[in-house]
Amino acid sequence: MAWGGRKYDAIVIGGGHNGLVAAACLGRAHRRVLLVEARDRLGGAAATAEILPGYRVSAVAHLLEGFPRRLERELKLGKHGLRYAARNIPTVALDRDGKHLLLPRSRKEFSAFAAHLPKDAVAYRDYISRLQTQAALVAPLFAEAPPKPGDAEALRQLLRRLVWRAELGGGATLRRLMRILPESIGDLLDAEFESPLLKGALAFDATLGGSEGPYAPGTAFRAVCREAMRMQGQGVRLPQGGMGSVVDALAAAVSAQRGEIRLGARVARILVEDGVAAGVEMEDGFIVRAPLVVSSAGPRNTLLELLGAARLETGPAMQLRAPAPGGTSAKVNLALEGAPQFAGLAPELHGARLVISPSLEELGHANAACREGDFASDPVMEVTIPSMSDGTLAPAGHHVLSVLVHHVPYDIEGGWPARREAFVQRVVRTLEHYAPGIGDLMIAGEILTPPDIETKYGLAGGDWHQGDVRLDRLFGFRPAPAFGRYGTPVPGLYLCGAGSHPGGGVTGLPGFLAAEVIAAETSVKRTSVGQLDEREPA
Amino acid sequence: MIPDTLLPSPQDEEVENLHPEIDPLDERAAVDPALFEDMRAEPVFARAVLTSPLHLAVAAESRTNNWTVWNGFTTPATLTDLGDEYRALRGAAALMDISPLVKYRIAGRDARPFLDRLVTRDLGALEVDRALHVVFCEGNGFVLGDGLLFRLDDDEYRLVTEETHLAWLLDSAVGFRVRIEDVSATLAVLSLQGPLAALCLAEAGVANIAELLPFAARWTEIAGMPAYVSRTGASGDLGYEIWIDPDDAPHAWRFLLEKSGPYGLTPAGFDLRELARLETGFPRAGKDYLSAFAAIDAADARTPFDLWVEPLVDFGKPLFNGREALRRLVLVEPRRRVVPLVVDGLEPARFAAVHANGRLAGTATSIGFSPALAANIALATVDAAALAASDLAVRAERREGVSVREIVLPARVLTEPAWNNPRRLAIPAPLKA
Amino acid sequence: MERRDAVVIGAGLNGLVAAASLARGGLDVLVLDRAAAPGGVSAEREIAPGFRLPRYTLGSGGLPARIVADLDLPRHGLRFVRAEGGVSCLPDGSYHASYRDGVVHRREIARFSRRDADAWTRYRRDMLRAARGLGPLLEGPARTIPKGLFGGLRARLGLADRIAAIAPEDVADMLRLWTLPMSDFLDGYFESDVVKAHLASAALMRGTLGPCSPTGASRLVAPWIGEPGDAMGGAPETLLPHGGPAALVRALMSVIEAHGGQVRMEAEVTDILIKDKVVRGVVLANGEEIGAGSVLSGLDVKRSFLSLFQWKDLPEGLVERVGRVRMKGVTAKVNLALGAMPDFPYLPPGCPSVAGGLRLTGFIPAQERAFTDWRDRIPPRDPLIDVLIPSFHDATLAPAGMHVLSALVQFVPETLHEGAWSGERRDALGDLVIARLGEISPGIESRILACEVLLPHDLESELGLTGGDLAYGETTLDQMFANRPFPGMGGAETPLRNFYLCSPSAHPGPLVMGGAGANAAAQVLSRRRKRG
Repeated sequence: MAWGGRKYDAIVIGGGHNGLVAAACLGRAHRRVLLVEARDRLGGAAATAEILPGYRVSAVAHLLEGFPRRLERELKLGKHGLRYAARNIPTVALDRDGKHLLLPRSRKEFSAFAAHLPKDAVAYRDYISRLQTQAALVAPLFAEAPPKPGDAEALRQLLRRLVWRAELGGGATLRRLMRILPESIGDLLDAEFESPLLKGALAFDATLGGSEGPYAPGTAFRAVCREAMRMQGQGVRLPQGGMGSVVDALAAAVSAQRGEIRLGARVARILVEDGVAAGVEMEDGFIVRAPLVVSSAGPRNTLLELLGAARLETGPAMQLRAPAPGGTSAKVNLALEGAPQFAGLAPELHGARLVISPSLEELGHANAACREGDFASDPVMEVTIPSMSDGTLAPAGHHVLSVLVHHVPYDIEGGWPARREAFVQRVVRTLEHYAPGIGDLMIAGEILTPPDIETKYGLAGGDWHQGDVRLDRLFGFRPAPAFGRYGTPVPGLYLCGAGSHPGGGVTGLPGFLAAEVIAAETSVKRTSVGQLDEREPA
Repeated sequence: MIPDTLLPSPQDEEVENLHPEIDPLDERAAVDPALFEDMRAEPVFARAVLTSPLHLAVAAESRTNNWTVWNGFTTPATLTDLGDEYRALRGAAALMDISPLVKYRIAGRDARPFLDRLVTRDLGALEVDRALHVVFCEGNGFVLGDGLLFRLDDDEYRLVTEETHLAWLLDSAVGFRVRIEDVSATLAVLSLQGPLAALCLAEAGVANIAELLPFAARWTEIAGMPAYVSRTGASGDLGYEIWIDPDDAPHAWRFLLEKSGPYGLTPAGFDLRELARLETGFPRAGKDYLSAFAAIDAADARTPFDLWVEPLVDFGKPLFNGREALRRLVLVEPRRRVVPLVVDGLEPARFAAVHANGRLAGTATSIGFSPALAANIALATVDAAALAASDLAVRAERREGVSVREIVLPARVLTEPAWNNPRRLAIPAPLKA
Repeated sequence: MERRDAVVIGAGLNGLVAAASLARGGLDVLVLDRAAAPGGVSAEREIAPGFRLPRYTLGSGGLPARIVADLDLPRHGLRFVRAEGGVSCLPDGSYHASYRDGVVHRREIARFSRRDADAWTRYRRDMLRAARGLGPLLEGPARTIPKGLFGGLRARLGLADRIAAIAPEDVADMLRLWTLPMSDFLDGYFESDVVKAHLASAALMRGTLGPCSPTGASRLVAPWIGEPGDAMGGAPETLLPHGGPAALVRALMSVIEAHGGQVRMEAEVTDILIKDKVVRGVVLANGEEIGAGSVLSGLDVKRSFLSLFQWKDLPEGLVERVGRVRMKGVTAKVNLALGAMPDFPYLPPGCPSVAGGLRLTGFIPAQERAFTDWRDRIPPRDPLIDVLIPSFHDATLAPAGMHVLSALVQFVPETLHEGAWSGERRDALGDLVIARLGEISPGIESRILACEVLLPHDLESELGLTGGDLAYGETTLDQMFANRPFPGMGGAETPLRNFYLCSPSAHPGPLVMGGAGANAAAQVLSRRRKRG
C-alpha cells in the first residue's frame, strides 16, 4: 500500500465526526495523524445522502444541537466551509386537530403560548427556568473532561465548583436536582401541566434516543442533560447542505493540519507491545505503527474485539460485557415534488422542528410497543423540512423531508425485511394526517431501520449513542468506570467516540475532550512513569 | 459396637446387589449407603448431606464417629485419635481423603495465556507434569483464592482450590479459546503424607516413586488402577497426593492401607490436615482469609503481600488481574498481615483475640496445639503496626469441668514454620530396609 | 377538656410503635382508632367462622432488632421465629428456594447454574455492603443536603469533599445499585433466568416498578437491611413475630398500657384543633375534644393533611404538595379458608423454605408484562402471587387440621382504563389466583371453604388508605428519603408545629417495619427535650 513506511504519531480509528474532531485537534498539537475509516465515506451518522439526483438530505442525524462554538472557532470550521441554513430553530408540537403549539423562545412567542394554554403558561415558564438553572449546573460538566478516576482532589474541586454554581441558582437548586435524579419525566410533567400535547412534546425530548418510556425513573434528569447538551452550542441549528457539510468541514480541518485520511481501511486489530499500544493491523494484514491509537469506534468494538478482552483485566472487560441495548430510532427521508402543507401550521413554521407526540400516553404506548418488538400504531416522531431554509437540498419548489421516528425496535417481530413496507406506510399515514396530500407529493423515499443504520452507517446495534444514556454511565463512568476520561488500561490507547463523555449527538465533544486529555496525559506520562520506576523496590 | 439390629441381615439380597463390593457382615462396612446420594447425579433438591466418593471406605475406619463439614462434604474430623494420627504423620505416614477440594480442568489453545492473565505468578517455568502454588486476585489486588496449578499437558491444566471460583474463571475466560470445567465430582484425591510416604507407595507397587521430585507428578498404577501421583501436600514433610477416578478411589484407599499398614500407614481425618497445615504456616482460603468477593467489610480483603512472605507476584508479566493495583500496593506497607504465632503454655488452649501492648490488634483464625513445638500455634490476622510490638498476647480460655477461666498467654510471631523437614524437598531415603 | 402529652391517630403498627416509644419516654399517650380492634392494616380478621388471618397484608415482615430491643418487646410476651427466604415457583415447573445456610443455598443455585452459585458470594457481599451503608440512613430523619446560607454552604462544601473521598469503585457500585433496573443489575451477577426471576420477584412485591424500570435495583437491598454479616452466607432471614402480626400488636399494646398509655378504639378523629398555626389537639366524631402537646398521625399523608384539617389552616402550597404525592394501589389480597392441608407435590418434601412463603412468578419478561399491564390499568393477566400459609406456624388460626392461606397479588391496578372493577372481574381475579395455586398444589380448589378477594379500592374504603396503597405512597426513589412524602419533609415533622406523621408515608417508609413510628416518636421526644 502507498502509505507503507510512513511514520505516524497517532492513528485515529473511525471517521465519524468525533474521530475527525480528534484527528484535527491532535493535528493542531503537531502530531502526524492518520485517520482510518472502514467505509468508503466519512461521517458515520452525520452524513448527507442523496435520495434522488438533486434531492439531498441529512441521512441519520438531522439537526445540530449543542455543537460547541469553541470547537467551531478552534478548528476554523467557518473557513473550511461550514455554513448554517438556519439557527435557533423553534420546536412546534403538532396537534392532531391542528391546534399546534409553538414552544416559546421569546416574550412575544410566550404571550401567544399563554393565550393558547392559559392554565399551563405560568407552570411552563417556571419549568423552563428550573430546567435551565439545573442544566446550567450540569452543562459545564459536559464541556470538560471528567476527573481522572481516583484523583480525589480533582473530583473535590469539581464538586466544590458545582456547589458554588448551585448557590448562584438559589439554595434549593441542589436539593431539587437530587429530587429530579430518580424522577420520571411523566410524573414530573403530570404534576405540573394539564395539556397532553405539551407534556407529550416535552417528554419526547427527554426520552429521545433512549429505550425508556416517559414514566421510567431517571428520565426527568435526561431532560436536564439534554438541555445542558444544547447549552454547549447555541440553540438548534441546521447546517447548510445537511450534516454532510459538517463532516466536510471537519475533514478539511484535518487535512489542513496535514492529517491523512484513509477510506476503506478497516482495522482488524489494535497492536499492543509490552503492554503499550503500538499501532494497528489492517484487515489486509498491513501494519501501521504509532505510539498513540485513538478510537472513535464503539467502546465494546474497540476494546473487546479490536483490542481483545484478553488484553484487559477481567474486571474492566466485564464492565463492557453487557451488550448495549439496540437503537430505538429509525429514519425516513422523503423527496417531495412540492411544498408540504401541515394543516393549521403557519407557513414560516414549516422550517421548525415538528414534534409528533400528542400525549404521554401515546409516547408510553410507542415505548411499550418497541419493547415488545413492534412499532407503534401511532408512531412518535420528529420531522424537519430542511429544504425550507436550505435551497441547496432540492430543486426549486421541491422539498426533502426528514423524519426521525422514535421507539422503533432493532429486532422486530417478523423481521424487518417483511415489515419495512408496513412501517413506511404507517409513517406516511401519520404524516398524511398532519399534512394532507403529502403522500401524493412523494417521489422517492429512503427508510433506515435501526439495523439499516447499523449496516449503512456503522453504528453498532443501530445505537446512535454508542451505549444507552444510562445514569450509571455518565461523566467519568462513561462508557464504563474503567474507561472514563477517554483512557484505557493500555497506555497509548484512547477512546474518543460517542461512547465516551459527554455522549451522543453531533457535538464533537468526545473527540475534542479526548484530544485535550491525550495532550495533557502524553506529556505528563513520561515523568510519572519515571517517578514510578524510581520508587520500584530493588 | 453396633447393635445387631442395625446391621443388614446376610439374607438381604438388595444390599448385596446394590453394593457387591461391600460385605454386609463386615463390621467396618456397616454404614447404610442409602443415607447418601450419589454426588455425581444431578441433585433435585439442595441436599443437606454431600459425601466424598470414599465416604464408605473412610467411614469404615472411623473409631470415633467424629465428623465435620468441609466444603459441604461430610468429612471425618478424626478417625481414631488426633495424637495417634499426628504421630503417624510425623513418624510414619498418614492417609487422608481430600476429595472435597475443588478441581477445575482448564484446557484449550489459550489455556496458558488465560492462566497467565488469571494468576499473579509467572507460569513460564511450569512444565508438563509439574505443579505450582498460584494466587489469583481481582482488579483491586485483593486475593480471590489460591491453589495448586498442575500442568497436565501442553494445553491442559488443573487448578485445585479450597473454594469454588467458577464465576470468576468463566468471566475471565471471555476472549480466550479455553474450556473450563468443574471436575470436582469426577476426581477423588488421597493425600499420603509423612516420612514413609514414598515407602508406602512403593509397597503398593508404584515404581520409581523416589525419582518423583517435589511439585512433580506422573501417571502410575495403584492396584492396577490408573492414578496420577504428585509430590505435593502442605504437610511440611515428604508427601504425595493421588488423583484418581472416584470409582477406583475406595479400592485404592483400602489397598494402600492393606499394603502399607504394617509400616504404620494410618488413616486420618480433617483435623490432622488442619494441624499439619498450621504447622507449615499455610493460610487456608475461607478460614484464615476471605476471598475478596466474600469480604463484606472491605478491610477483610487481603492482598498477596499480606498473606505470603515469598514473592507470589511476578510483575515481569505485562498483564494479569490486579497487576496495576498490586504495583501500587507493593510500595506501601500492608495494613494487616496473616502471620503464624506461637503461644506460650504447655497445654492446648482456645483463643481468638490477639492483643498488642494490651490493645486488640488482631484475630487468630486457625489455632492448634503443635506437638512438634509442644506449644499452641496459630495463624492470625494482625495489624501490621502491632507486629513490631514487644508485647503480643492472646486471651485464651481454659476449661475445667464446666468452668472457663480466661488467661493471658504471651505470644510471638514464628519466623520459621513449626514443621519444615528437609525431607520435603529431598530425594526420599533408600526405600527397602 | 381532656389533655394528653401526645395523641396518636390510628392504632396501626406504626401508630402503636410510636405510642409505645412515647409512653416509654414518659409521655402520657392516647391512641385513637375508628376501628373496633387495633392493628390497622395488620389487624387479624375472621374470614369464615374459625378461620383468622391478617386480612389486608401477608402478615410477614420482620421488625428490626433495634425497635424490638428499644421497646423491650420480648418482656411483653413477643416471641420470634426465624423464617427462611421463601420459594419461587416458575411456570416451567422449576422452583428456587432460599436458604440461610450458604452452602445449601449455593447448592440450590447450582441446580440452575454452577457459575451462579459462585456469583452468589459476590452478590451477597454487595447487598450486605449496600445494606450496611443504608442502615444508618433509615434511622431518624432523612439526611438531606444541608440548608441555610453560610453554615449551610460550608456543610454543602463539606459534603462535596466527603463524596470526593469515596473510592471510585464504590461510587460505581453505588451508581449501579441506585440507577439500574433490577434486570440489568442482576445480569451483572447471574446468568440463570430462574435465579434472576427469584430474586427480582421478591423485590417487586408491593412496589410500583417493573423489573426493567431504572432505579429498581435498589429494592433488592431491602431484605438485607439488618442482616448480620457473620450469618451463614446464604439468603437473608427474617425475624417474624410468633403468632403473626396480631401477637406483635398485643405486645405493643401491652407496652403502652404498662407505661400508662391508653388505646381507645371506635374513636374516630375527624378534625384537628389548630390555633395560630400550632396544632393543639383533636376532635372526635362525637364532638369530644382532646387537647394534646403533640399529635401524631398514623394515617397516610393525603388523609392526614387533606381530610383532618380545614384546608385554609394549612400553610401556603401544602395542599398542592400533598396532592402531588403519588399513591397508587398495586396489590390485591386473596384470602382462602382451606378444609385440609394443601399439597405441594412438586416441591421437595419437607422443604424448610416453604415456611417463608411461596411466590408464583413468571420469568423477568413476564414480570415486566405484569407491570406494564398494571401501568396501562388493565386487570392482571399474569400477576405475581405471594402466598403464605400462616396456620403452618400457628395452628390456632384455623380449626384443627384446616388452614388459612393468605395471598398477595402484585400488579393489580386500583382503577381500570376501561370500565370498573365489576363483581365479575373481581371473581375472575379470584379464579385466576386459585387456578395458579392449583398449578403448584393440585386439588386445592376442592379444599377451599371460603374465598375472599380484596381489591385496592376495598382497602381504601375499608381502611381509608388512599388508593389502597399499602406502601403509603409510591416507593420510587423520588418519593423516598428526603423526598418522602414530599420534598421538604423527609421525616416525621410536618410544616405544622406539633403535628407529626408516624405512618410509612414518612421516611423511611415501608422499608423498615415500624420505622416510621419509631422515628416519629424519637422526633417528638427530642423536640420536647429541646424545649425543656
